[in-house]
Amino acid sequence: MEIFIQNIGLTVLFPLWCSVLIFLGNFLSILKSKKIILSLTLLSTTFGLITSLFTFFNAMVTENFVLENTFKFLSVNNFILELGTYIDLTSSFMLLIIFTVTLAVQIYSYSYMYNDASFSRFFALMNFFTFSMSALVLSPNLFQIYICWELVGVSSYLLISFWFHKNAASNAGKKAFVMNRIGDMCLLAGIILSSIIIYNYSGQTDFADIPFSSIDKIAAYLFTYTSEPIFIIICVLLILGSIAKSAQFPLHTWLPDAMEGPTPVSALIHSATMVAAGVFLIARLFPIYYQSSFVMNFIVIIGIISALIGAFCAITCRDIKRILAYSTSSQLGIMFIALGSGALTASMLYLATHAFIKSMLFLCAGLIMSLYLGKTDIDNFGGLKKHMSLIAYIFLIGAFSLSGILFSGFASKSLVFHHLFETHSYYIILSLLVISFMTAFYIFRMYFLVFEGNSHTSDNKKYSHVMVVPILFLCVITLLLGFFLPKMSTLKYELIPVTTELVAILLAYLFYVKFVNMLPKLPILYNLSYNKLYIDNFYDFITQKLYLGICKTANFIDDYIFDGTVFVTVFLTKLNAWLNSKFQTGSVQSYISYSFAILALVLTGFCLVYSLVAYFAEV
Amino acid sequence: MEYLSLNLLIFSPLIIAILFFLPIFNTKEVFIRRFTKTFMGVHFVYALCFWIFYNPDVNFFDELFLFGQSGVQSLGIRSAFAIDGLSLVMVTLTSFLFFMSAISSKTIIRHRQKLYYGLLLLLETSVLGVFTSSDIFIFFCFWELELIPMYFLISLWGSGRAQKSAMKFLLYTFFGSLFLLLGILLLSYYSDTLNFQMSSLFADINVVDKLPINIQILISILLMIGFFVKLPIIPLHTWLPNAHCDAPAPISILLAGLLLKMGAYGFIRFNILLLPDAFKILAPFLIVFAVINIIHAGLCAYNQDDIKKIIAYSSISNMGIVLLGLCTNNEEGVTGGIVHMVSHGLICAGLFMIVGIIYNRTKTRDIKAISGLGTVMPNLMGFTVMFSFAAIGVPLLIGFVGEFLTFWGAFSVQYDSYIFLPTVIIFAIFVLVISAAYMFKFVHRIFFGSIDNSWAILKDLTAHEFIVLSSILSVIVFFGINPMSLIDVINPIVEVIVESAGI
Repeated sequence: MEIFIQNIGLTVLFPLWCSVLIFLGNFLSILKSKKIILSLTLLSTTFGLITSLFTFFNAMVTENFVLENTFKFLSVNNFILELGTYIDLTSSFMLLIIFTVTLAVQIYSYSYMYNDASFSRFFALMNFFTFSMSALVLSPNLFQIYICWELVGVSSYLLISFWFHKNAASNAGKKAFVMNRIGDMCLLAGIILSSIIIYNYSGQTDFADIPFSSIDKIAAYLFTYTSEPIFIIICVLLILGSIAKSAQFPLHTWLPDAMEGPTPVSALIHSATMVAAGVFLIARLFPIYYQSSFVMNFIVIIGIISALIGAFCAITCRDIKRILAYSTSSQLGIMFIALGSGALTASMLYLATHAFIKSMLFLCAGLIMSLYLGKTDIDNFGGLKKHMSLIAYIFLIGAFSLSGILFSGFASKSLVFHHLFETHSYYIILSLLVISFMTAFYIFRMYFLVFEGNSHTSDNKKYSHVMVVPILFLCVITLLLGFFLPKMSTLKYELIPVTTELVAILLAYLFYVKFVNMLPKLPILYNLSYNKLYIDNFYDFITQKLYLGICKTANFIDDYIFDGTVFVTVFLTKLNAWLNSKFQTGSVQSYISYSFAILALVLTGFCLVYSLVAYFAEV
Repeated sequence: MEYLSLNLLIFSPLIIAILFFLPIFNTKEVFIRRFTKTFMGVHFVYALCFWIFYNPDVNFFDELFLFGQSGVQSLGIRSAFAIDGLSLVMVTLTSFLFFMSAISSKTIIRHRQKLYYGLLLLLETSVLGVFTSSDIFIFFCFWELELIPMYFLISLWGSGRAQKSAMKFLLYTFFGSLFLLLGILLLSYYSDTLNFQMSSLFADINVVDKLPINIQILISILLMIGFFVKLPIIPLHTWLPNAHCDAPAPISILLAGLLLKMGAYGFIRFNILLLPDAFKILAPFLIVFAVINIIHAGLCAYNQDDIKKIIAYSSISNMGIVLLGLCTNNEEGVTGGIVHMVSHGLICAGLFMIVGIIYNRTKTRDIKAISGLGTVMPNLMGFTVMFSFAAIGVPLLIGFVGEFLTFWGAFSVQYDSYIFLPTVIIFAIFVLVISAAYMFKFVHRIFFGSIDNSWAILKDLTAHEFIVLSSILSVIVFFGINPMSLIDVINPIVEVIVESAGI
C-alpha cells in the first residue's frame, strides 16, 4: 500500500507513456491491434484506480495527510518553479473520481469507437488527457495547475475536433480552444501577479510558485501586501480561469458546441473531469478567496447566473447531448454557489456525485445515438422504453438522482441546502429552488420524450453489451454513493426542495406524456430559451464583426500608413529621378545651355548677396 | 576543447562556397546537393561540440590572421571572434537551421543548384560571423555581407514578385544599416577605437563610460534603428511580409529563424551591454513599442489571406515579445527574451517549412482556396498542430518557457517614474488569445473541414520533409520538457546583462 502512495508519480506517467506508445506504434504500423491498445490503456487506468483508492483511504484515515514530491523544472534567479505531486484529501478524492470515470469511459469507447478509422489516435488522446488531468489534480503549486490547465485544454480541443473533416466539429473545437484560452490568459495573469507580489514584497521567494502546502500563509501574505482593489482584481482573474474551464457565464457557450466530439469524450471530459477542474481550482485557492466577501459573493453570483442560464436553455433544447451539456453548465453553477457560500465539502461531494451521474447519462445518450446512426434530435426518439428497458431504467435512476430526489444526487444536494439553511442565505436558497425546479423539469422532459410515448420505429434495436457494463458500473456507484456521504438528517430542510422537484416532474409528465402538444409556447420566453438568450449571436457578432473590424483597421494602418510612407518615399525618389532624367537629353548644346543658365544664376546670386552685404556694412 | 577552432567553424562554409564557384568543381547537381547536406551535417555536429564542451568560465576565443596580422591594427580593428553563452546558443541554432534548410531545399530548388548552395554557404558564414565577432567593425562587415547572398537567394529562386521584394528587403535593410554605421562611427569618434571586444566576458575596459549621456542616447537610438529594421519593430517592419512571402521556403526558414535574431543579438550586444546607461533611459519607451508590436502584428496576422503572411506577421508579433523580455531589466525577463529568440527561431522555421510544403503541393497561398487537407495529409496536419501549439505557447513545448518568463519579468518591471507602464504591459498578455485566434484560423482553414476535390490527389510528406519537421519538433519538445539545459547556458550572460543594465 505504501509503495503505491510513494510512487504516485507513476500514476501520472503511465497514461503518458501509453499515449506515446500508442501514437508511435500506430505511426510506425507496429501497434495495430485494437485489443492490445485497449489492454494497455486499461492497465494504466486500473493501476491508477488502485493507487488512487489506496491513497484516498490513507488520506481518509490519516489526519491532515500530506505528501509532496517535487523536482525543479525551471529556475531563474531566485524564482524556482517546481513540478511534482502533492497528495492531500482533496487531490486524492479528485484522483479517485477521475480514474473511476476514466475506466468506465475507456471500456465504453472500445466498442463505441471500434469501427472508427482513427481508433488509435482516439485512445492516444484519451490517455494523454488522463495524464494531464491527473497531473492537474496532483499539482503541488499553482504553476503546475496552469501547465496542466493548458494541456487538458489542448487534449479537449483535439478530442472535440476529433472528426476534423466535419465542419461543425472543426468550428466547435476552435471555439472551445479560443474561449478557454481567454480564461487561461486571465488565469496566467492572476498567477503571475500573485506570484510577483509574494516574490517581491513578502520576501518569501520560495513561495513564488504558490505551493499549496502553505496556501494559508500565501493567502495571508497576498491579503496583507496588496490593496483591496488589487486583491480583488487578482482573485477575479484567477476565478475567470475557473469560469472558462467550468463553462460558467459569460464563457459558457463553448460547452454545448463541444458536444460535436465523440460521446465518450463528452462523458469523460465535458461532464465529469475537465470541466470540474474549475471547481477544483476554486477549492484549492479557497483560503485566498475566503478573505474577501466580495470575491465570495462574486463566485455565488456567477454560479447563480450560470445555473439559471444553463437550466433555462436546457428546457427547450432539442439535441439530447446539448441538453446534458447545458445541464452540466448548470450543475457546475450549483457547485460554484456552494463554494461561494462557503460549503467546501458539500461542493466537492456534489462534484463527485454529479461526475458519476452525468457521465452515466452521457453514456446512455451515446448508446441511444449509436443505434440511431448518430442522430441527436430529440424528435427522432420516442417510446424507447419498449426496446431498451434496461437503459430506460438506468436513465430514470440518473434523472432522479440529477434532480436531487433520490440516491446520491439527493444526498449531495441536501448537503448544500443544509449549509445554506444553516447560514440563512435565503436569496441563494430561493434561486437554488428555481434551478432545482428547472433541472427536474428538463431532465424529465428528456426522459419522457426519449423513452415514453409512441415509438417511432418498430424494429428491435440491438446494442453491444460491452457498452452496458460501464453504464451499469456507474449506475451502481450512483445508487450506492449516497450512503457514504455524511448525513444531515433535518427533514424540514429536505422537504422544500424535494417538493419543488416533484412538482416539476409532475408538470413535465403532464406536458410531455399526458397532454402531448398541449404546452403553449410562451412567446418571449420560448424564443429566448431556444436561442440560448442570444448569447451565441452576441459572441458571433464580437468575433466576426468587431474583432475582424479591429484586425482590418490594424491591417489598414499597416498597409497604408506604415507601408504607405515607404511607398511615398519610393515614389518621390522615382519622381525625382524621372525629373532629372528629363535633363539628360544627350545633346551637348542643351548641357552647355544648362550650365550657362546655372552659372548665370549663381553669379547673379553671388552679386546680389555681395552687394547686400556691402550695403548693410555701410549702414 | 583547445582542439575546437572557432575560425574553422565560421569560415569553413565560406571555403566550401569558394570551392563551389571554382570551375574545377564537380558540376553534377545531385553531387553538389548531397555534398552541401553532408557538410552542413558535419558542421552542425562540430557546433554541437562547442555546446558540449562549453564552460562559462573558459572562453572560446580566436583571431583570424591574414598576412601575418589580424585585421587592420593601425585603425584598431582586430578580426577577433569569441563565443559566450548567447553566441553559443545562436551559433548552434544557426548551424542547425542551415542544416535543416539544406535538407528541405531538395524538393523546392530545382534549378541553378550550384549557385544556390554556394550562396547558402556564404550566407552561413556571414550569419555565424555576426553572432561571433567580437569587434564592431568585423561585426558590421558580416552584417552587410549577409545582404548579398540573401538578395540573390530571394530574387532568383523566389516566387510571386520576388525581385521587387528582394529589392525592398535590400534597400530597407541598407537604410537601417546606414544608421547603424553612423552610430558605429560616432562611437569610434568619441572613443578613438573600433576594437570593442564586444563579447561581454572581455568587457573589463568600458570605453563608453566616458561618453556624455546625451551622446550615448544619440548613438543608442542610431544603432537601434539599424537593429529594429532587422528585428523588426513597428513601424520599420514592412519589408518583412513581402520578403518572407516571396522567398522560397528554405530561405524563409533562415529569414525568420536567424536573420531576425541578428537584430535582437545586436540589440543585446550594443544597446544593452555597450551602452547600458542610455538603455536604462530608453527601456520604458521601448516596452511601449514592444507591446504595440505584439498586439498590432497579431491583429494584422488574423486579417491575412496569404498563409505565408500569417506566419510572417506572427513572427513580427513574437519579436515584440523578445524585445519586451529584453527591456524588462530583470533576470527572468531577459532570460525569457533570449529563450524566446531560440524558441521562435525553431517554431517559425517549422511553420515556414509547413507553409512551403503546402505551397509546393497546391501552388497557391490563398487561405480561402485551400480546405480540408488533413484528410489527405494527416502527417503534415499533425506537425502543423504541434507547431501551432508551440507557437501559441502551450506548456511542455519551448514556446511556453520564453513567453511565460517574459511575462513574469514584464509584470514585475519596476520603473517607478513611469506610471503608464503597468497598464501598457497588461495588454501584452492578450497575445495569448490573439495568437490562438490567428494560428487556429490558419490550421482550421487549411486542414480541417471537408476536402475540396481538386486537393484529393495531394501526397503526404516526403522523407526529406518528414526528417526536417520531426527534428525541429524534437528539439522543441526537448527544450520544452527540459528548459534548464538551455537556461543554464545563457544564465551567465543574462547575469552580466542585468548587472550592467539593472536598476
